[in-house]
Amino acid sequence: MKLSLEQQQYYAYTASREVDPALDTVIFVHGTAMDHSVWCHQSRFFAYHGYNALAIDLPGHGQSDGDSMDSIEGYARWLNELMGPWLGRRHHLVGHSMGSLICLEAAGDRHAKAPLLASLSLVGFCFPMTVAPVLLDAARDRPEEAYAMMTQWSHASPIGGEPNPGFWSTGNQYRLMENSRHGAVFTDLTACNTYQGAPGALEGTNCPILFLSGIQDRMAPCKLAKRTADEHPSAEIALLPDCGHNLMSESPDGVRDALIRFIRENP
Amino acid sequence: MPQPTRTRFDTLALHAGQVPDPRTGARAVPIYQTASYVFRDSEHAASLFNMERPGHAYSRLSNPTVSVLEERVAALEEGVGGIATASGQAALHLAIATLMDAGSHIVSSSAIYGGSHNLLQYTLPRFGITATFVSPRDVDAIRAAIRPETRMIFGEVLGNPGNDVLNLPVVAELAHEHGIPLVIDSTFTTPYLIRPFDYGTDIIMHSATKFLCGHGTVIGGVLVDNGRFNWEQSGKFPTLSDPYEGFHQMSFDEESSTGAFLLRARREGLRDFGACMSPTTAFYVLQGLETLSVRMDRHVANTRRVIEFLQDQDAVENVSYPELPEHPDYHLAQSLLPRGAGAVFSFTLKGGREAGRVFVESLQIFSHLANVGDAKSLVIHPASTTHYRMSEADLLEAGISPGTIRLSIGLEDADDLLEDLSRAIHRSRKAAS
Repeated sequence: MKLSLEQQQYYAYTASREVDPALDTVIFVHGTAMDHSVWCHQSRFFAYHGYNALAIDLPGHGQSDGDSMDSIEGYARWLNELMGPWLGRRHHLVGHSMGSLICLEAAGDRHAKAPLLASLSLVGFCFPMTVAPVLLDAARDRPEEAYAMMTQWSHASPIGGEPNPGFWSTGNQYRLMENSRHGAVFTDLTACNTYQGAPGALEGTNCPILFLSGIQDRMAPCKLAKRTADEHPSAEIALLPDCGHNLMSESPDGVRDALIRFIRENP
Repeated sequence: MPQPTRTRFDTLALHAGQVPDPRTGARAVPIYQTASYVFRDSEHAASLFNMERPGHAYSRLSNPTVSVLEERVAALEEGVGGIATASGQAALHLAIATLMDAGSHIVSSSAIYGGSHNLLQYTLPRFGITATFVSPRDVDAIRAAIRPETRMIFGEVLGNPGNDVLNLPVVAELAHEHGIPLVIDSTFTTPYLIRPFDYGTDIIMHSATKFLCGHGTVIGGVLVDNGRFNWEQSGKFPTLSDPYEGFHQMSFDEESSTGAFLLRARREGLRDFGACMSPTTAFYVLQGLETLSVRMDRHVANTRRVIEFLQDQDAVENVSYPELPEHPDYHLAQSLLPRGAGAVFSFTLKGGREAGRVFVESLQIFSHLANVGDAKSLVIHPASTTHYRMSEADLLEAGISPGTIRLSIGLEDADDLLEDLSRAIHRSRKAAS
C-alpha cells in the first residue's frame, strides 16, 4: 500500500492484506540500502495471524519517494510522522541494523505520539554502530565495493545453504543494494556511523525491548547488543546460532519465532 | 576488520548451497529422494504453504537436494536464485509461461537449438504466443522485430550449431530500451566461460544435461534470475506485478524486489505445469558442477587441438569456431569469451552429404548421438537429426548446410581424438572418390 506524507508517496508491504483498524500493527523497518522485502517471511506471518503488518520502504529506498537521509534522527521523525495514524493504537516496532537504530530513536522520541508502543524489537542492533572507514570510503566512491564488503560481512557462511529454497542469499543481498538508489548506501552508513542518540532514546523508551542478534554477526557484534541490553531494565536478548548480520535470511524461522514469542508476550 | 573477498568460482562450484548434513555429517549432498515432508503441526503446514516460512512441503515445488543445485548455479552465475527443471526445454517453457500470456510475442535468434525452435515456431503459436526469428548478428533486424506485444528477446550465447556469438551488451540494451528482458540460453558456455549477467542478461537458462552435468547421465534444466529487471516499471508483466488470484492476491514483485520471476515460476509454474527436477538428477548435476572449471578448461584445450587439426585437412571445406580469425564473430568472442568459445563446433567436409555420412559412421571414439557437453566426444549430422524439422531456408538461415557436421569435444586424450578423426576423414575421402 502507498502512504502519503507531505505530498510524497511511501510504500508499505502488507502481504496483500487490507489494514484492519481493529488489529494491533507490527511495523518493520529495513536496514542500509535494503527494502521491505528483507522482512517477507516475518511480516507475512503477522499479516496472516491477527495483526496488521506494515513493512515499509524508507525514503529513497525500494518503492518509496523521497531521498535517503544521513541521520537516524531524520529517519525516526519521518517514521513517526508517517506512522501517525497507527501510533495511536497498539503497535510494535521491529527494525534491522540501521532500521533498529531508527526504531529505537522513534520509540524514544518523547515528542512523538507513541503512547501505545507495545514492544520494540531490535534485530542486528549494536551501539555505537561504527562503520569502518574502508567501508564508508567505498560507499562514497566505489559503491560496488561497499556492496561486496557488506554482503560478505553480513553472512555467517560464504557458501550459503540457507533455508529459502532456490535463493542465493549472498547474491540477493548484493542485488538489493545494487538496485538501491544512487548514494543511498553512503547516506545510510553515514547515518549509522554518526548516530549518538541511543542512550537517550533507551532512557525514553518505556516498553519491553528485545535484542535479537546473530552469534557470528561481524557487522553488529552481539556482545555490543548484549552490553546495551544489560543496561536496560526492560530488555532481553536472544542470540541465534550459525547466524551473521543477515538474520532474516540466514535464520528466517529463528527470527520469526523470536518475534512471535516476544510480541505475543507483550500485547 | 580485514577487507573480505568474494568467494571464488571453484570454491563455489564445490560448496555453494550446501552445509554438511547436520544429523549425519555427510560431506556429499544427500539425495533426499522423497515426495513429501512431515509437518510439525497444522500451523507449520499452513505457514509453509502460505510462504510465511521457507522450507519444503512437496517435491514438485522444492526439494533439499534440488535446492542445493539451484543455489549453486545461482552462485556461479552471480544471480539471486535459480529453479531447476525436468529438462532444458522445461526451463525455457517455464520462463515463457511465467512471463507472458496468449497474444505475447518473442523475438528470437534464428540460430538456436532445434528443440527450442520447435517450441517457438510450432508449439507455442497453438497457445497464442508467437515468435519472430532473426539473425543474431543483425541488431537492426532484432530491433525491427520488436512489437508492442513483445515480451522477451531470446538467444544463445553461442548459436547452435554455427557458433554465432550474440552481442549480449548491445542486445541487452536494446531489450531494456523496450522494457523487456533478455533471456539467454548459456548451455554451451556455462558460467565458467561467461557470466551473461555481466553483460545485461536478465534470465539465464541452461540445459543442465550438457556441460553442467558433463557426463551425459541425466536430463535437466536450470533458470537463473539476475534480479535487476524492474518488472513493475516496465508495466508489461502483469503476471509479476499484479495481484495473483491463484496465490492469495500475491503481487510477486512486492513479495520480492529481486526474485519476483523466481517466485511466480515456482509458485505457479512448477506447481501447475509440474516439470520439476528429480533429486537424483540434481545429485548427478551437482557431481558434475564440482569439476566444471577443470572440465571446461580441458574441453576447450582439446577443442583447440581438434580445430587446428581440421584446418590442416584438405578434405575439410571449412571450420566454424569463433576463435578463428576468419569467423565473423572473432572479435566479439575475444571480448566476451576470453576463456574459450566452448567445445561444440561445426565443420563441413568436402563431398557433401555422402562424405559426411561415411565420416560419421567411420568414427570409433566419437559417439554418433544427439547430445553435446558429454565427457565423451560426440558427433552428429544436424540436418538429419537435431534440426531435421527445419526447412532448407531455415537451415541456411541458421548456418547449416546439408554436409555440416557438429562435434562436441570431450575429455579424452586429444591425440586419440585426432587419430580417430584422421581415420574417418581418410575413409570418407575414399568413399567420395
